[in-house]
Amino acid sequence: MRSGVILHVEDNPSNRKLVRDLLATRGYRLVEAETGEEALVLAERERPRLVLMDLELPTLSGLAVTERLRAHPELGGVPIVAVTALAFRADVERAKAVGCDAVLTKPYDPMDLLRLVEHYIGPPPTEG
Amino acid sequence: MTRPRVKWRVGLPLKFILSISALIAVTSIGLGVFFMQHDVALVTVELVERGRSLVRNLAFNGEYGVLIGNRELLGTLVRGLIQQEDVLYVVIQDATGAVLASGKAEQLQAIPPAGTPARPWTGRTWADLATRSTQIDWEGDTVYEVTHPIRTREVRQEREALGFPSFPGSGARGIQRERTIGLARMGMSLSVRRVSETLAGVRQAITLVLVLAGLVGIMVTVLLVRVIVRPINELVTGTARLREGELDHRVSVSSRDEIGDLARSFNRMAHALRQREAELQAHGKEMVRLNALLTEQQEALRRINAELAAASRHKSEFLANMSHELRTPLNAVIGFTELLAAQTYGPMPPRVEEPLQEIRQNARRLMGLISDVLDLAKIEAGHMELSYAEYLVPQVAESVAVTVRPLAERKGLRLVVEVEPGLPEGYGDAQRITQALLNLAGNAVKFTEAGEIRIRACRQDAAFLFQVADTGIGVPAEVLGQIFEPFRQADASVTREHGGVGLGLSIAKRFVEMHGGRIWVESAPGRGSLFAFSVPIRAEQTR
Ligand SMILES: Nc1ncnc2c1ncn2[C@@H]1O[C@H](COP(=O)(O)OP(=O)(O)OP(=O)(O)O)[C@@H](O)[C@H]1O
Ligand SMILES: [Mg+2]
Repeated sequence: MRSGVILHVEDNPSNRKLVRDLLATRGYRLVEAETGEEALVLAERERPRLVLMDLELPTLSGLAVTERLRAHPELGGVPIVAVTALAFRADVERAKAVGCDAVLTKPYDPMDLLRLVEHYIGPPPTEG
Repeated sequence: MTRPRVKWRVGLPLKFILSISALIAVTSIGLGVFFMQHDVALVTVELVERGRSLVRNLAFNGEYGVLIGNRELLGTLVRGLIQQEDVLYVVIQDATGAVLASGKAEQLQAIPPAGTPARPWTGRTWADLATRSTQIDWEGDTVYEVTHPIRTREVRQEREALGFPSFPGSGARGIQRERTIGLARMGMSLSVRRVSETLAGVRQAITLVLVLAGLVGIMVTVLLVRVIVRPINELVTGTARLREGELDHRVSVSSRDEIGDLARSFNRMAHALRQREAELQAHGKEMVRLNALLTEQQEALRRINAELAAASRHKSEFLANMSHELRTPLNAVIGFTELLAAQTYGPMPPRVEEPLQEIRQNARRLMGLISDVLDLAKIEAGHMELSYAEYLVPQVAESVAVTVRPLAERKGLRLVVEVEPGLPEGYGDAQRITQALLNLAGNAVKFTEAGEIRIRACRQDAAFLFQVADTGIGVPAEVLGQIFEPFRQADASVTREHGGVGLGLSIAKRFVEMHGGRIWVESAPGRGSLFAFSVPIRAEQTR
């Protein structure tokens, strides 16, 4: 079974904190990865319900990570929302091609992200 | 290339020789005939003259024989004459016509009788009237008959007869009376030997003339060959060599005649050709040089062009990358501001609310700027593609109005939106068309202090016409043509006050043009502006 965890992959600490503040304060459980490699390890271990994936990562790119996740027998079906500063249409299309369910372009309105999260996994689990 | 070849080529030398020979032959034959006739006539005259003197002698010598009737004596005279080769016959007759003595050459059969029809001798003779010469045809030959009367002189001494004494030595003083007592008659004919001798002389002369004429003919031919044929041959080879391209060839004929003229004119022609060719060559070289120069310049231009294109692409790519880099921190700024405003961190003290709003607004403006730069960069780097779909014009106008209305109202401007009812569905990139119209409307609000903004959309043939009219400051004529260029702004002071970097119109222009439409402006300072663009109702996807 999948846990209720959201995996946030992002190398920029500010943006990591932004998403953490946005989602954690609303009761979502969040695990964070700074690199693509770390993301793969965490995904394997945590079995997230949703992945927020920054596409521009230093070594292993978000696109590569997405491809591997999609190839994984058990994680293949997890919703992946790509977050990218690459605004070219071609980039968006490539992200969709490797299996991202949605693409959010930076800078985004935090409320838009919130709406997307709710769309994929519903409102945060109520306390208790 | 095929030269008409004559079957029988008769060269000039041969022609010369032939014609000169013919001339010589005709002349010689004519001369021969003339001389022959002339000589024979001379010989005849000579013959007749001889005959006349012979017959005179005969008549004189025969006087005594006739007087005394001594036939013996006369026969001796006749025989002596017959010995002569050219004497055919001799007859001496007395006054009655009786033949006293006669003789004939052996070859003659009979002596023509007296009274044989005769023609008068027409040749020149000495004025001796007594001697008569005639011409008779006898035995198939022309015989020249000469006659002379035989006379005797009777001197009657008149004085003696009258009784006067005669003085010695004055015999002539007596009265002389001549009496004809007979006739001496002779036939003469040209001897074969004489004639053939004469003719041989003539033949010799003619042969000599022929030989001489032949020599002269050969000399003349040689001369003609030297003077005409050789120069002509030289001209012929000269022409051939000229044709082969040896333009420096000259013929060395310098005679002062028509051929010399021809040769000189030929040389002048060759010279002219040479010059022409030199000029052509110079031209050709110049052309080659110019061509090389052109190619070089073209190459240089092409290189510069390529460099410029590369530079422009690099610039655009740099801008695109820059905007990516800008987006990440901006994302944090905007995000945290939003979280603060959404009271994620708890309620805000009232006095920070205003600064927070400032941050939010400026962050959004910054965001818009970055988006504009990125859009332009994307377009110029060739990455911008339109996303075609069906769209509705009222929706486009409405979303622009929604964005602009709060800004207009804040400035106390009236916003009027007029959309022609019943417009067909459009096909194109609605988001880009909306952005173009928004940029125009945003400018209208930005550059208008009072009055109204009117947004209109209607159909014009196969295109939609979008117009944004304002009552603002207007655009000076001298910059009207430039404001659609990136970073071009009409007035630095005005724009400093209004903000913006000068990208709105250029982006709108590019979006419109990508749809195959066009954009334009009518404006004058203080009179407001009318910005408009048209896009095909159904845009072609090929752009
Ligand atoms: N409606 C208008 N009235 C008067 N001037 C205008 C109007 N629209 C544009 N201009 C002139 O054209 C210039 C270029 O406009 P453009 O929209 O490209 O740039 P901007 O508005 O200055 O900056 P940006 O749109 O990038 O924020 C403006 O700076 C202004 O001088
Ligand atoms: Mg503008």
